[in-house]
Amino acid sequence: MNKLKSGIEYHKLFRQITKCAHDVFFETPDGDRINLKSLFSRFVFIALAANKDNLKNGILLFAQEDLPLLRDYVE
Amino acid sequence: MDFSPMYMEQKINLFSNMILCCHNLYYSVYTKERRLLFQNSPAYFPLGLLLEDSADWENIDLLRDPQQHPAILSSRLGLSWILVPVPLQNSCHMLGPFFLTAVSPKDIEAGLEKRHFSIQVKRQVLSILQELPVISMNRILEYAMMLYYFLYEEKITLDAIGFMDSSSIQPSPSETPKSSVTHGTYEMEREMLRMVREGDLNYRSHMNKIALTGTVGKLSNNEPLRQTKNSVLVAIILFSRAAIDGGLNPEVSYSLTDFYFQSVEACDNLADLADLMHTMEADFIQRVHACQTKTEYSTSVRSCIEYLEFHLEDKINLGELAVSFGYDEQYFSKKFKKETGQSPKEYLLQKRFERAGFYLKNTNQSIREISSRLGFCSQSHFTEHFRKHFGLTPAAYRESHT
Repeated sequence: MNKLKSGIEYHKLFRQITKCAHDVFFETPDGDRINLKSLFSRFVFIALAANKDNLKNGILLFAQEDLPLLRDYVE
Repeated sequence: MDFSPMYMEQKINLFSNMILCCHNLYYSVYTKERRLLFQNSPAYFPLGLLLEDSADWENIDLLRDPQQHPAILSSRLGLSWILVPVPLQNSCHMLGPFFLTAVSPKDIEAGLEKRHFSIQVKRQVLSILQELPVISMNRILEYAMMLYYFLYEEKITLDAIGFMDSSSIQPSPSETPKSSVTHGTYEMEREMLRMVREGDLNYRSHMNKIALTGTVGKLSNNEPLRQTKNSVLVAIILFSRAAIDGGLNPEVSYSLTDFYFQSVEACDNLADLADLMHTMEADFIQRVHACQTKTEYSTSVRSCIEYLEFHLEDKINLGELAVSFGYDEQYFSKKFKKETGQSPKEYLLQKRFERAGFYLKNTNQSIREISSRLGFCSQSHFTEHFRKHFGLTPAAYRESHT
């Protein structure tokens, strides 16, 4: 389901995301989609990270083509 | 200085709690390898994530400054931190994050309004945003000096504080027309301009004694980098007018203004802007000082010298220049020679060769480029005169200085 692994270093994830060819979204359990390529939305993501459950229950949505870049960060 | 862990922990707790009495400014300590050793933010606050998302966090050398001086690090979203490296401890002590202007949090709020996030997401973002303090640059510089003193028990001055790679900020334009923060004091501005007018070379130590209060008003719609650029541009204009009042030739002052305006626009980070601001201050004040202390020349000759020195690479009509000082060319040339020992033309040539020598020594520009840049009609003409002046051809001169 592409859930984020726990204990990852987010600055490394962000760096990988900037290399992705397509947009990468974090989807919350409530259905909010946050585009992690946008600097603004990344702030929203960080604010959500204040509640660990938000990250635990959300999923990462990305194009199959970008999987090699993100494989280490998702379950 | 005692950096033992127990002593430091006690000290940090006291200092960080004192800061928290005034602002929600959190204390954190990172190793050179960016491992978090200490933080006093609440467990829910994403301090580490905010920092990791800051400009070039991965590539920042936290102990980069051998002088251990404080620096202000700014992130792409407009968040900033004070950093003081402690190489002995292999650590970097930080205060932050904070916003330097109310523009940034307002932009984030405005951006949030425009996006279709759920109420829960918006509420969560706003609750974190409300925790982030907006603190004026002046107050932050005071905190940086205090943090440095706290760690090293040594006083430093404002000019020791550096700025680390910042970047342009992206939030959408704010709809708020102006900031509600208090503006800086008029007295402080007047004092600074007095020092320019008087060519006071001790301006740095004077400035360090002046209490910093208030903050610069809102000078841009949405970008802290633009905000800082605009405040430097305003300072350049004020300095140039004060310098004219102090005796600097208006033409030279306007030319300096043009030069510094272009330099400001070429800057893409706060660190370069801070350096440029310091250079600009020193340049205007030193020029005014030179004007007021060089009494051996009359005003018109001194103004002419200043004009020539600033326009070495421009086409200069000496006849028109003499007329602008109220003399005809022949009379002014005699007057100039009587005071300086050279005619304006000889003086201009000498200065152009000195400039050519500088370029030959310090740049890779070709001799043709240099001769053309300094207004010589041909390379051979330039070479011939250069040899007469220095006793060497330009090529031999360059060779002898490499």
